[in-house]
Amino acid sequence: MTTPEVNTHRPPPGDTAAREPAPPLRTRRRFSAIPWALALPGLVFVAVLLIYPALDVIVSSFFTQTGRSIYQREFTGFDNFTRLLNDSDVMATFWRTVVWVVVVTFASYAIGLGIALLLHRRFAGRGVIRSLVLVPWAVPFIAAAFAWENIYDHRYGVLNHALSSVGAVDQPVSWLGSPSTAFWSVIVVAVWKQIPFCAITLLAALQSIDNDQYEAAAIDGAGAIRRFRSITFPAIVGVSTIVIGFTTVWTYNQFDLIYLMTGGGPANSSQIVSVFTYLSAFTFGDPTYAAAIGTTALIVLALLLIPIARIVTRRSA
Amino acid sequence: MALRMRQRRRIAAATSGIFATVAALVLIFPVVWMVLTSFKPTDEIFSPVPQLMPDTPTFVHYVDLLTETDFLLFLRNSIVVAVCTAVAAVFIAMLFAYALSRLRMIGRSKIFATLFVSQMFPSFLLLIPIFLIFYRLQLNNTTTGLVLAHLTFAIPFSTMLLKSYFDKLPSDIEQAAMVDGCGPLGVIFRIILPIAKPALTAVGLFSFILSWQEFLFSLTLIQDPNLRTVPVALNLMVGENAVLWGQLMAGAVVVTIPAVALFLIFQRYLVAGLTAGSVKS
Repeated sequence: MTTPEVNTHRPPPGDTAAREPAPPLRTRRRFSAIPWALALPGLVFVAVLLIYPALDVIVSSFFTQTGRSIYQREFTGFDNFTRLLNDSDVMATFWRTVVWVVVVTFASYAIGLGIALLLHRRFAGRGVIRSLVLVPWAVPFIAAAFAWENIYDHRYGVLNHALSSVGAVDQPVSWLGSPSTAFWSVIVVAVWKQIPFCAITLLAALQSIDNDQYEAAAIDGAGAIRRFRSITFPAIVGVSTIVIGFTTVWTYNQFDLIYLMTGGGPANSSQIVSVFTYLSAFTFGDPTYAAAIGTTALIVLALLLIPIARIVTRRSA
Repeated sequence: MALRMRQRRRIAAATSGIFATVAALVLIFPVVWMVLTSFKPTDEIFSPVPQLMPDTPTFVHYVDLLTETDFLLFLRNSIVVAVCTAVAAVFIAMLFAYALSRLRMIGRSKIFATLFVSQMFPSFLLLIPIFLIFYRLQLNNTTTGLVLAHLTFAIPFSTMLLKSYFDKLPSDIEQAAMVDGCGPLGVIFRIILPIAKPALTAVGLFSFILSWQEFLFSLTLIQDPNLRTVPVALNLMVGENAVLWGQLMAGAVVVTIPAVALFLIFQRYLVAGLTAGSVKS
């Protein structure tokens, strides 16, 4: 414990980890304005720039713009939503977003877990390797997009050069330029960006396991698979929920990679909800329709968020 | 038996080390490629046979970036926005997190849940109403507006991280100070601030990085070329001419360096804070 020593007449503190956070000094006290005063700037900010805008999007989705200004609009009920459900571009985009989220989450979790298990073993230079694994997470999206665009480049890219020199492709592939490969090429980048978070968080959970458990199990004759199932897996279930939850939401909200690398194209083949909403509002000039797409996206996201928020608040409150 | 087990364990560790090293090298390859490309002369970048190492390393792309574009101006804009975001986020989040962690508040867990959810709010959704609000308040196309937009993710994130940190901090000293007649503000500034300095620094630097690399709000809320931040300016450079890979890579390296450096130094706080309560320590 690195708690600074303080000279008080109070009894020595017990186990700090198990103690309730800050028991009140007086058991009975009247309403105090102080906590609210401290929280006020944060609360006002959250209300004005997070909650109000979110509600505004939902309200706007029931209106249709009639004039050139966004303020010239009339209430049209569920019109935007019926339009959206019959818009094959939007529906295809939603399905593609589901593929995007599921594939990126599953792949980065699986690869991240593999790397975490490797890093869990003690070997020379482990600290350095651990830091290197973190790097893609820290790289800004704009830089990641540029680096990968260069690697994927049709004519001068190192990927096509490497593949053709081993004879894997006859002709250079236009990775980001052809509808059959663009989406999957960006998925690779998204997975690459997300692996470090999964690996490092899972590693932290693995390292909280007591090593004696493994030794005892090994002496009892448990094989590697049995040890993973009975010791490792139960220890990382909780963290895995968090990792998968965060990854799901971050991937769902991800805008930069698709926008920068393909813009959703070619021919909408890599379009996802975030980019589509942005383009509807700011490029196609249809903000109320964009609001309806956004509201639908929010409903989908909320369905993902509610169970995760429950788990986290239960654990930390 | 014991010897065999130890030997087997040593082999397993060495194998893990080799595989982990390969995985790490694959993961950092795009970054290494980016850095090396930024030092290649243009003819090497457009060579039909790409090489990993530049034959004749050059700083020409960095020099071009500084002399032929307004890169220094964009850099300055980015730093101003990121510093303002970080300072405001740390200050507001410190008070907010302290109230949520220590003080008796009605609806504390509801506020916490709201924060948690809003931390995950998609920016692409908030962007439309924020654009309209700022348009009305004439905050569009201003640095203040961009800082406020960046605070929509920096404040929830910082508050969550600091709350989880305060929750773990023993409260004896604060209570002793309160017995001696110190008020909450006194406790925060005389006791919490000095103890929590590393955590506050970490949270501030993370807010800095998030703001530093933010793209969507910066793209939409700023139209004035003189107010542009680096990520947006770099992206606009792609469209202007034929792809100037050298300059783009040099710019990407400049954006990446502070982000990676600060991240590697302070990542422990991030992993601990994000997964607060889920990892037993």
